Amino acid sequence: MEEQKKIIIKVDESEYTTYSTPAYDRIPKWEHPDDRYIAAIIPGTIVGISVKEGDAVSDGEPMLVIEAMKMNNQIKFGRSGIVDKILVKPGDIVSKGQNLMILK
Amino acid sequence: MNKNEKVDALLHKRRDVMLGGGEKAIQKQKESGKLTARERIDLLLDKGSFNEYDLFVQHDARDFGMAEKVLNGDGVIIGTGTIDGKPVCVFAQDFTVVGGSLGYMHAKKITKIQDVAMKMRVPCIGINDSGGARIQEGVSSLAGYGEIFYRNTQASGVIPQISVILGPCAGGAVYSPALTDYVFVVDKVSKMFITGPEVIKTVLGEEISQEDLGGARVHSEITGNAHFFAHNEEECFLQIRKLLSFIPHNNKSGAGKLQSEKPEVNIDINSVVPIDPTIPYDVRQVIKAVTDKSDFIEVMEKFAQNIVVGFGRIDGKTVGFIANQPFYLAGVLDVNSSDKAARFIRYCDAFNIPIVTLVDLPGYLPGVDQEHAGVIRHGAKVLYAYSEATVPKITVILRKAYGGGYIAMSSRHLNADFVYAWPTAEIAVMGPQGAANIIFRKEIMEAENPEDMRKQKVEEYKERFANPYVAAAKGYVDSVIEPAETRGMLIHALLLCENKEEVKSDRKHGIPPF
Repeated sequence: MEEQKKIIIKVDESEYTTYSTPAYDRIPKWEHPDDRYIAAIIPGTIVGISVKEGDAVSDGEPMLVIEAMKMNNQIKFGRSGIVDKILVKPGDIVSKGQNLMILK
Repeated sequence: MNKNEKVDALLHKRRDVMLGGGEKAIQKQKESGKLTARERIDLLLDKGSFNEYDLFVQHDARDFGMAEKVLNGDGVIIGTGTIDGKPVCVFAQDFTVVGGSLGYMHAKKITKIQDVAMKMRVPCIGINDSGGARIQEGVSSLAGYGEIFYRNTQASGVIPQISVILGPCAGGAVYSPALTDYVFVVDKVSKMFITGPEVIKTVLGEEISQEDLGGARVHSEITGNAHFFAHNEEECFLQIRKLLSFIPHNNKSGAGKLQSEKPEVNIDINSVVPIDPTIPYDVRQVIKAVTDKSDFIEVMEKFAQNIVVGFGRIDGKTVGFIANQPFYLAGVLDVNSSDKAARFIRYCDAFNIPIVTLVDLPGYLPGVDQEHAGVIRHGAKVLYAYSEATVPKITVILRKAYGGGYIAMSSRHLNADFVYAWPTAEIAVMGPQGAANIIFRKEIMEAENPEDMRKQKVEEYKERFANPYVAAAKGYVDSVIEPAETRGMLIHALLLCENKEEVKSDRKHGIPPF
């Protein structure tokens, strides 16, 4: 067998000595989502930002525009709050899940 | 022209067309580490058995200056030949002709050979090496793909369909291989993706090489899109020939019976499996200890290695093995191993290949990732596939068979035909640690020394329940057998199952979890 990483897997409180697989090694560690952060739901290029830091925003208000596959996608706020920090600027290429803004 | 001249003209014409994209393009193909389409066909088939059709087909595209362009064979070679004397259909895309791009006549040639394969009930092998759709032909080339996909689907479960990826296979082109039964890839040659690195770079700004995005290793180890991995093209064609020696060539023929041969004697089946259920071992040793000549061809060897699936022969007859692999991830069922097992079970069922299941698993893999990836939906595929399968189903429980894992792995309750257990089997609702902690929670908590009490209770539970006899007492296990008796029991069970018949319901089809 090829060189493999030895790991312990726990099922029903029993510990099994075993070896890892390439797909298992890629499993990301789960983190509790922090709801102050607003992440990109699609990848693309930021073409416009509709708010500035310190703005009070409400649910449904335009946040920014992401261009993806030649479409300008209007992204709206999903909840109300005050824009604490804007983490991107027009021209930035963002990936899915990348944080765009912090609300407080 | 007299008759001889006409024959000469044919030979001349043939020679010209058979050069494909010409000597320069062939040179380039070789420099990129690839064989030509014709060399590939020669390596795949029995020597001299290839008969080509549609050599003189021409495209009829008119736009973008295509009318003046002559594309030899329209970039694909189709024909029939034999493998080990048995007929097969084959097509091979010729990258030297405009990058093997798929125009409508190119697709027509492929669908023609697919139709022959289907009508004659022989396997269809497609060698893919193409830059994708021929853009100049527009929607016609999309029509071509669609007609190929339709035939892939119609032929599914009727004839074996094999895809060999020997070059780029990108965009819509990837869906034909994905619809076929087996995808073969070669290290550093195969490249498969929906959107290539260029698009990813423009849209996401992420730089990734073709190899890292969709190379042979990625598809063999991570995505599960490929079923066989080879280091070079020669090895790949040997793998295809070997696979076709094991599987039936259509859903009615059966794989045929060879001379029964003993397993290699150097595997001692009694000593393969450690008694302690937490210690790993390689379950393929058990498979090799019961198969003729210990010859076993593993499918998806590098993907979800916590389950082993593949073909071997017992008493000269092909069977499909599904075995938990304690060596990797303790042999658990998870999203990937469930998908892998379920598809293989359905393959065996479609082609009337008896299924032998070897059980040794602690259950399902715990974790947020698994739950969020839909392990419920994926795990259900295994239950569905086993329950649905009407081929002979023989189960051997080697060691642990706990909880939902026990039920899923071709248990009596899912209508297995014969269930055997080794004396080392532990058939229980869960592992002894977990079970004792729940059942004896109060005693453990109230004990003067809880740790000692826990240990004592775990031992008690092990003694009473971690064995095959509780299940045997209920008739869920037909026989508790010595490991050394396994091959004999399997031979007998398979013999008994030879005329197995199950009444199928008259529904159109079920709706399995996807």
